[in-house]
Amino acid sequence: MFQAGPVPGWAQRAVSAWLLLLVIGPGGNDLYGQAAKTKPAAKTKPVTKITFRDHVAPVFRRRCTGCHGGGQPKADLDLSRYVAVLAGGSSGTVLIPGDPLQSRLYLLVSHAEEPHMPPKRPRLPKAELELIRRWIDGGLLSTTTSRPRTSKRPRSLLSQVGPPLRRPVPKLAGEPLGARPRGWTAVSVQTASRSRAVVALAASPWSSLVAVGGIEQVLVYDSALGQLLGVLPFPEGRPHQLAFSADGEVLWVAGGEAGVGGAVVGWQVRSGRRLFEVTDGDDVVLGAALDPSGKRLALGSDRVVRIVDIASGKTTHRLDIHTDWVVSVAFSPDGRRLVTGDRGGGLVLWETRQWDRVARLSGHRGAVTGVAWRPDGRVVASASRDGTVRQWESEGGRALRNWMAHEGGVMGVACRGDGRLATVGRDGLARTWNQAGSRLGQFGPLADVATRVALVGVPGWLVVGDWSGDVRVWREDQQQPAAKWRPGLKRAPPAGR
Amino acid sequence: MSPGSITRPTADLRGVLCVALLLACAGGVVAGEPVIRVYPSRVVLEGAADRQRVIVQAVDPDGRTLDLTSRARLVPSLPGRVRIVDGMLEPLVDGTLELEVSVDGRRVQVPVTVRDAAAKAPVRFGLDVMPVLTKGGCNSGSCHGASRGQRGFRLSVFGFDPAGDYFRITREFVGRRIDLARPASSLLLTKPLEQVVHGGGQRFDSDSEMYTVLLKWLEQGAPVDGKDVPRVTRLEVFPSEVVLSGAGAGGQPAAGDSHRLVVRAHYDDGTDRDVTGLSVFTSTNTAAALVSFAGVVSGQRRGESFVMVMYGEHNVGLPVIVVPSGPAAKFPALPVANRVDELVHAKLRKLRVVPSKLCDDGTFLRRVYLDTIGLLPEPSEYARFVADQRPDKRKRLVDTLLGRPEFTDLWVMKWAELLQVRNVKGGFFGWLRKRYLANVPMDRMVRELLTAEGGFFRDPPAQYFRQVGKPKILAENVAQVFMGTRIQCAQCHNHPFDRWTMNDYYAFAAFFAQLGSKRNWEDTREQIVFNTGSGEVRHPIDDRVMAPRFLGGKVPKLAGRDRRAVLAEWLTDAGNPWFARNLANIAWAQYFGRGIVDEVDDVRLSNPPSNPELLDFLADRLVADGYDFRKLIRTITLSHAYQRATEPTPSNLRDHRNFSRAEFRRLRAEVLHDCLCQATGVPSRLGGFPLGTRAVQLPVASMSSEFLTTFGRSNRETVCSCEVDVQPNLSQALHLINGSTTWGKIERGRVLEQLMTRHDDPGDVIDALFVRCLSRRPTKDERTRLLAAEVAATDRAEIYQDLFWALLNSKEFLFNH
Repeated sequence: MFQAGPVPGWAQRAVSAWLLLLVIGPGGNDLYGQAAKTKPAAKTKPVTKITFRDHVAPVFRRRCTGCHGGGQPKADLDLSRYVAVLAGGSSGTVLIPGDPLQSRLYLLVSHAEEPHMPPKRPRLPKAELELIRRWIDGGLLSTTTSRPRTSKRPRSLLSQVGPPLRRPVPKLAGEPLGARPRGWTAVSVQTASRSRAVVALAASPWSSLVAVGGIEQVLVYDSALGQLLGVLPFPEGRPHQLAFSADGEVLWVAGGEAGVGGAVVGWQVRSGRRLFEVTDGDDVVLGAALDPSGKRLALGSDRVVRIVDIASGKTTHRLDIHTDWVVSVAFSPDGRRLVTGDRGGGLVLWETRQWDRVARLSGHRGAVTGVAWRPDGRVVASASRDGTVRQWESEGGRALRNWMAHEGGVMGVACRGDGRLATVGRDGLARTWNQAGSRLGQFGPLADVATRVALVGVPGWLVVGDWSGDVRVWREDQQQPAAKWRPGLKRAPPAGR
Repeated sequence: MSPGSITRPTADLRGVLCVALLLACAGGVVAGEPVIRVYPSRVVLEGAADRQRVIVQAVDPDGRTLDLTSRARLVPSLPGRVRIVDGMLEPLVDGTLELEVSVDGRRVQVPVTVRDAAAKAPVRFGLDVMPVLTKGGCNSGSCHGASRGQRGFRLSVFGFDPAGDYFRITREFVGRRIDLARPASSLLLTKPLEQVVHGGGQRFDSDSEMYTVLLKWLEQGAPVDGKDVPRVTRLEVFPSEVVLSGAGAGGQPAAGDSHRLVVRAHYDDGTDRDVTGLSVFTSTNTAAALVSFAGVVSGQRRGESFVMVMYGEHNVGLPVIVVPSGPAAKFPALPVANRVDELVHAKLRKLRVVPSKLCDDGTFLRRVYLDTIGLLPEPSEYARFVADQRPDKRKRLVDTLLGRPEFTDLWVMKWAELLQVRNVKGGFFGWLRKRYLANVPMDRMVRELLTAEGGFFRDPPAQYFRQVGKPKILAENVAQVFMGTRIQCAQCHNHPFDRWTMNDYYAFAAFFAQLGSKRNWEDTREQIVFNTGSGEVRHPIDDRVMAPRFLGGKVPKLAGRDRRAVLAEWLTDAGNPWFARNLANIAWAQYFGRGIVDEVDDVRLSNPPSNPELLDFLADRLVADGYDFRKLIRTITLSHAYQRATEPTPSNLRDHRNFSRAEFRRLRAEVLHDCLCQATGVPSRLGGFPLGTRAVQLPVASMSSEFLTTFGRSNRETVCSCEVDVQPNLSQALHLINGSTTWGKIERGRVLEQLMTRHDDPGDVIDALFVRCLSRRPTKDERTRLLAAEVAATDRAEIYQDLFWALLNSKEFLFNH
């Protein structure tokens, strides 16, 4: 609920940020704005070439050659001379030109893989890491006059993020992307003296809208202010999972009443109109996904994945392979792939023409708590109770990278246009990662389990829900949350952050 | 709870007795009228939520108890301070008052104190919610307590891991099991109420205390327990004894009268609470007594049961006796030989069971020979004993037998089994034998054993610790052998039918954590056991280091000493509640075929001694006699209880627990073997041991012997008393009938030859064979028929052979009786 009383500092900042966004208009309000911004920047402003002699060698001298140099370099890896660096060490080459995320040297110094280097020291400063990354990316130049090296090995999928597959077109010229509720009928919010844990949380990829599960309702907020914009009734029961369509026009919820029955309901965001409703079995639907075409729905019905044609309401396919409750379901942005995860750690990749299984994505040792597609559709990330995040290639289901993200279990994962990931965990932390699994940022810890994370269409903002029922909005560059509210609570929470 | 609370009257019970006594004086009650008791004898209500039920019991002159609670009127002296709802005392205003309990014109005053009547205490997870999960059966092994849970929801079996259960209920599956915004619609409530589909069906009603506790806890926000949550220190159940009428002597099972039980928990902050509604009740003998979900016990058939009460992880028990309905028959005045008989008779009187008469001399002779030295009496000894007219001849016989080396052999074998001696070399067996021959007091011997260190050859008892590095196994063995209790269950979860928790288990195992072993480099066959002075046992759930704590006792001050020495000191201390009782029980079982606690190594809350006073007496005697085993055995064997006949009386037909008659016991493998050898005069060659070595004397059980294996010798693979199998079976019968052992020995032996040369009269040969095998003369009938067969036979020798074979195959030979 919106917080009453004097407007605290964070709110003022948030308001100004929001105003700024409005000013920026269509282009600036773009999740992919960062990518768009850096590319033209590269053209206009000449980037200094990163070379071994001028940039990297001094870093190595300062940090590495104490062990990896001299008469008997550790692991036979000599980082003091260019040729020796290229030659690698006893375990082979450590650098792949143009592909930092497959270069062992970079993975170790960025702490994406173990053993962390330099051993028992803090990670290198960001600026130095960035130098090494750009040096590898630029083809391992020796001096400014060298020619960039290339590798015959294909660049890791993780190093190359394509443009999003579907870039929505605004319905009206000049209108910002991302639907916002308009003229919804005011429905009062159901409240209780205590909040339930946030389990259903979604953010529009094109605006600052956030949807949170309430008591037999779905509450839609503006994440910048925590201001309630609208209420969607869900008398079918408890919302368990919420999601926006890729264009931000449709919002759907999976949920129901435990031991009674489940349902999936979709709304048009602009009008608040119900678009579809599908009921299911005798228990809550724990996960569901809408096909990008908007015509069919995949939903977890106990251990079976049902594919439902929305127009007719008929089940067209039943995918019966999971051995435990299906809890995570997501279509790839192009709709060609579906990934489904269960409570036992089973994860399956399907193709959506014949509904054949492409691959079992095996590796998780605990419930799959979330799946997130990279918007270019080539990589999907899964999070698990076992604490790991795993990434998979979408064509054949090849495992790409995995890492321990949260001890005790990852509760949710979300993916940004540039491939960066956000996770939340039982440790009460929210973390952001690059695709190699190096940690970029950390938020919290919260007092209790961080249950869900979503990325709003404002670059660098993430929304986190927790067990006690709080929703927080963070800007990636700030340690304090920009906004915090508790949906569906009878009393206003005590003043303060 | 403390170990003593079953057998010793609690403070409250003493209070009750005083009340009853006062009443008897003040009221001028005529002898023969029932005594009225009110439980608890004093009530303290703390906090608004506190409740206490009061029960009223009448004890008839013949010992029968009647539940008068429903007939009693409860009137508080200050009505504003408490109110009484459905028999429950509820606090209203702070202060003290008297509760007047009146029934059948008799009155008893119960002091009541009310404190903090306005204070609302929160529901706590560990204290309140966990017992509900146990009471509801939710965490039982067949439901969510199963190792994989049910439908993904798992609880620790019988609640050994409250922190884990709290996590699984509140946070494992966020958004499902509980709903703090709508507490009543949480799955944690709708499932057990069966408002929604539940595989386990309905577990409780919405008006039950169980439901209320869970709902309140959820309404509070399902908080985790703080550090200040009080812990249960003791559980008690009222009344302290129940004697119910069952069905009549006709034996038709019918509902007898019933008795309500009340359970009270005491906490370490000094408070107490009525936890009847959250306790689980089970009856160990449902043929005798049933107990309901709510804790009402009802009598069925004559017999005994033990009602187990479980509240959370705590257990307490209550003995229930069911006697036939109708007035008690007069119990005969029985002579007693010593204190043992007084105690046995006291129990039998309560049960209204009349014991069998005493056995004759021949039977006693054979019985005491087999039990004490594992051999048959020689015919000459039989003749001498039967002819002996001195009144104390049985006592003299026992004294003689206790002095014989075969007595030592028998007990050394028993201990070699318990200590798992499996190695001829190394001298562990020899050490044991030397200790016994020297009559070293048991406490000293056990101390030497438990603190042993050094090389296996030079210090043989060190072999007891050959399983170095497995402190859990060592702890289990010590508990089972020297304390007679099995703690194995508590390795993985709290013992469901006993008091042992995982904390107890791992803290006890910690006594054996600092042992090391190394090879003796001068003689590489030799292992050396030594104290390393370091090493700890960790709790598997939270990985905390466990400080050594005595089983059911305190955390000792170690002060850098050998942990085992501290343990041995505690174990063999005269005040130790386990050690002497266990030894006494083992001795008793040797002479009666079953222990006062049976099995002897299964002392358990739910397996109480059939006669605790008797066990206490024997243990006290053992301590008083400086742990002299022979003196204890003298006491046992001289009692009339030991000398009873096997023929039952009408009332003790079904009694096998209270020593009202002698039981038939199959001879154990080694003794039977030795008796066969003795009767036929043909020794066996066993393994590589010298001819004439008796089976009882074998140091190991590893050499092959079909006979011993068939008759169930111990393999010494575990310390369990169940390793020795004395159950008869078909292969044993076939082995005796067809096998080479019996027939071969008859053929090779010279017994018949000698008898036939010595006696001309066939009657004398028959008599001699009977005495030789069965320690009795043939009956007139047997003798006449055997003589007739002898006369008709063409080959005299053959008929004697047949008779000899038949005698050795008879049940009378195979069983001690």
